[in-house]
Amino acid sequence: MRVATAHSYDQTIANLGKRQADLAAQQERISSGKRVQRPSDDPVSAVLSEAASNRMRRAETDQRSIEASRTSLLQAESALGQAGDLVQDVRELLVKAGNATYGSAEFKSIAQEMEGLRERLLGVVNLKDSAGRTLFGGLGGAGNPFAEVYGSGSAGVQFMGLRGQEAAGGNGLPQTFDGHAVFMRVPPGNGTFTTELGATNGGSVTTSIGSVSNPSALTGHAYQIAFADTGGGVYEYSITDTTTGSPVAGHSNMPYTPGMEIDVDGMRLQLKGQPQDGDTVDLNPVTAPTDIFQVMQNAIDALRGATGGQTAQLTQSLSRSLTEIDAGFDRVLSARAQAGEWLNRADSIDNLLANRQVDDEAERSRLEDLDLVKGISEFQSQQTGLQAAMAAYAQVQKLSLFQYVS
Amino acid sequence: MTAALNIGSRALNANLSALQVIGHNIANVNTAGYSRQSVQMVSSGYQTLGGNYFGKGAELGAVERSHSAYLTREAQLASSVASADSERLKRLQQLETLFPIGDSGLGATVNKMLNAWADVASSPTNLSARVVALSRGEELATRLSDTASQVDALAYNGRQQAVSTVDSINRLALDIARVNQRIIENQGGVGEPNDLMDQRDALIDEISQLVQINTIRADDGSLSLFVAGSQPLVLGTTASQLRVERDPVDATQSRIMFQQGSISHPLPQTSLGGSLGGLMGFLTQDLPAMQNELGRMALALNTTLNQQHQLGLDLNGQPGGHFFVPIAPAQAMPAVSNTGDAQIQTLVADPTALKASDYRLTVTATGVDIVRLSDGSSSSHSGLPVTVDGLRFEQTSGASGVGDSFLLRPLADAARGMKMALTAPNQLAAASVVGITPVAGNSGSVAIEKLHARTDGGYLAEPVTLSFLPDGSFTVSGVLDPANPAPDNPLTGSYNYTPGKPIEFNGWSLTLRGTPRAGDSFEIAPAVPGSTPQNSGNADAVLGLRDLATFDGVSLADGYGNMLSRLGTSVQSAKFGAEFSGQLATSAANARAATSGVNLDEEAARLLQFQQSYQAAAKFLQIAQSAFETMIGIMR
Repeated sequence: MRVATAHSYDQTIANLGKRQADLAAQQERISSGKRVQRPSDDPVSAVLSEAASNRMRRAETDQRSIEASRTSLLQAESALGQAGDLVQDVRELLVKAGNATYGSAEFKSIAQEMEGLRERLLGVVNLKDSAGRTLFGGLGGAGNPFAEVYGSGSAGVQFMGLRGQEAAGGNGLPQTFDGHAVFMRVPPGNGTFTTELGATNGGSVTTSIGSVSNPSALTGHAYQIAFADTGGGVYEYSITDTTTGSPVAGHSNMPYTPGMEIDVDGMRLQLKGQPQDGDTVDLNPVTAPTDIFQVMQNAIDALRGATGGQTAQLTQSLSRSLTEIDAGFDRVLSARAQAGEWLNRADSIDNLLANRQVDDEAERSRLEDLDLVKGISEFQSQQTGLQAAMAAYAQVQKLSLFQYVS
Repeated sequence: MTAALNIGSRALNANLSALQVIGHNIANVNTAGYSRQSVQMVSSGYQTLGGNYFGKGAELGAVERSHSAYLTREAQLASSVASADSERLKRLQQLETLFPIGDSGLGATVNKMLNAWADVASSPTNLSARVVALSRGEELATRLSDTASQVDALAYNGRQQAVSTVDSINRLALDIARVNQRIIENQGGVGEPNDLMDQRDALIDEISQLVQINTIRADDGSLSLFVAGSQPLVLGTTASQLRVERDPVDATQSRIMFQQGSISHPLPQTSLGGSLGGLMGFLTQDLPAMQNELGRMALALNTTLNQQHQLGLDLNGQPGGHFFVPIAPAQAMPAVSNTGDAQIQTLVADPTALKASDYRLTVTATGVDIVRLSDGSSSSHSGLPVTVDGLRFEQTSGASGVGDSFLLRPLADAARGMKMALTAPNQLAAASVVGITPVAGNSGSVAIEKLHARTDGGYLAEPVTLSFLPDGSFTVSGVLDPANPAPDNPLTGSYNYTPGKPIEFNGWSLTLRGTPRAGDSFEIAPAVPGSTPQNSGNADAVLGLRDLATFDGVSLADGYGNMLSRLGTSVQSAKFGAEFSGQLATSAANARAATSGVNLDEEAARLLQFQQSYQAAAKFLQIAQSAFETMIGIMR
């Protein structure tokens, strides 16, 4: 075959150019460290690495959300701690108020102190996280979920948030607690019924908080225990079902001894102290939960109203408040435990997301990045190829018959 | 005696001519399109003298060029194909740079925009999180419209390039016609006008790069050129013209017309070959396909985000407005031959069902036929409005005649029109329009993971009560949308409850977790006014859009990958195609050069050969002369 001189030069130049272009492309890959720089370099890898990048960004976002939840939960947890302390302080004051030597002056000062604690608790439950989200607002609602409202019939603290607890999802955690469930659902009395002394009682009869002895016998009715003096310091009691208006069988004109326990329609309570004729004790079924602020307010009102030193009414009222405060404290404690559990979960989700990011990054790198060893060795061989081509060109172009023709 | 002198001088002349041709070859070693010439030596015949035949020496026969019509044709065809492929590749690579991968890509922008809602969901009252979400939206809208205008710029440059390529073709056609003229004038000698023919071949080489041509040689030596199979670009000594004009239906497109005298008609745009063919292929196929992909992404994002945003409440408790400026309905482009004056437009009905394609709508006697142009699938309908591929086709005015046809490019302009509608961070609708309230006395541990509106079918505002039964399933009561799912618990006629699985009724979606107790119930009703600033249900819903199957089943967040794979594969296949046709062109050029090209070593050898012949002839002349002189001397 004939070789056309000019064409062979053209070809050689074109080939040298191509080798140089390949070398430059390889150099670009090495210097950027990327094997896939354009989608066309490897469409499948480009698409997969794009998806891996998206997952990484998603994991980053999820981590940020978890971090936001963690911050809020930490603040909620510490707020719950504060709330627990305040409730405990109130409890101590209640115990202190039981001191037999205290008179109305002491009661007033205790009531005042308790009022201060209640105010502070109201502040704590309205706390917000650093981004302005309420800690105890439930599913939303007003900026201050707990509001003190004065007005006929509804005086007291009302929940202005939205009831309902946010759930922890697969990769997400709640940021707020349902403040209603934590603070506004304290069971009054023992949770089933309450015991109240008649307002005009003159004797020293008080009762225990009571308990349920037989759940299936409960009627949900209101009862009244009335004491009657049979003369000579001997007292009898009778129990009437005030809902139906009929006396309870087996509890009419029974002899009363202080410290005795009575069991009526599944409810058991202990009666203590000496009654006077006409004294009464009301047993009322619990129909709706009360709230921790109301419990405190009841104690404060009782202390304020106690002008005659330690009366049976005050003792009864304080011991009921004590039970209810404890029930309220339990709810705060369990919410705090929940916060702790969620915070633990935040750590594990965080770890999971961090691991996932590492995996995705590894996948992206595997798909997209250049194996430097391979890349450099390829570069070397391309370089050698170019050098050889240049050397061959230099040799061949010297070969001309004209050099030998003289 | 004179015979010997004649032989000598003839040989001298012939060899000198041969040397002249060799010199011409050597001189033209680097001339493009030059074909090696060679000299044919012929014997000058004989004369009879005394019954014997004496040769009269040699003389120049013809100067021929080493030329193979077949190889030349082959090289021209191959170079046409190669330049079509490389032109398309070059354009596609330009297009590819507009769609980078990784952090600088559109996909990252889409994801950043959607992910920004996570911070709004975490702290709906935090204005700075809202500002970030807004500016991410702004960034995405700008990015999409920028990309669209860069694609437009590519199209514009391409059309300019087509105009200048057509000018070159017309100039070359004229030149070839002129050379044909000169060749005809020079015909009739012994040899052929080799250099004129080389010049014509060079011109044809050049025009072959621009457009694929067929040649037919006439008896008078002229060569006629045909484009697109059979259109006579050069016929003997007359040249016709190509022309670029705007497509009469779709004014954004150009087409190549063949102009012969005063008549012009369009050429098949994609089978032109040469760089013009590659360019037109890119302009009429690859570029619109990518415009449609980009438009689909814009339209889907625009519509889904607007729909969800309008289902939320902003910081002031007002219903959300448009997030992006809604994209105007696309107007159909009527064919020139339409007899009616109907105006047809398309609206997005279902952003998740869109196909990246143009459509042709034809009015038939029984209704309309709609053809999806990307794959040619056709469907017949009894009339308008009709919804096809998530697009609602409707007639806005006028009347259509049977046989009227319309071209619709519903996605082409979508990306260009992307713009943020929302400007104030407090207008970001992060809160859900529906709220949930656990009924007092619930004793189970059911908590609420998500609640947001999904679609507004007119039942969103109806309060619904969800009550759990002893077996853990639940019933719904209230005014219910007939489109609600049917109960899936046949025993109690209730719905089974799966923690973490969305419960969808009346257009809202609710996700519960935890264990229910019999009698637990929840009331879902319009959100209480004033309770919404702390709620982020709708922001959660926007985050959920990331996984919405939008682009032929690919999620909204991964949709860009889809575009990349389409673009990447077409660039890659164009690259392979260009490499292959480039190799074919090279080997065809090699074969041609092997026949027609000048080899200097060969010329050196021939130079010596004819130099020696010349010297020998001169020596012979000298001898003949001295013999003559000897005889003269005898006579003296």
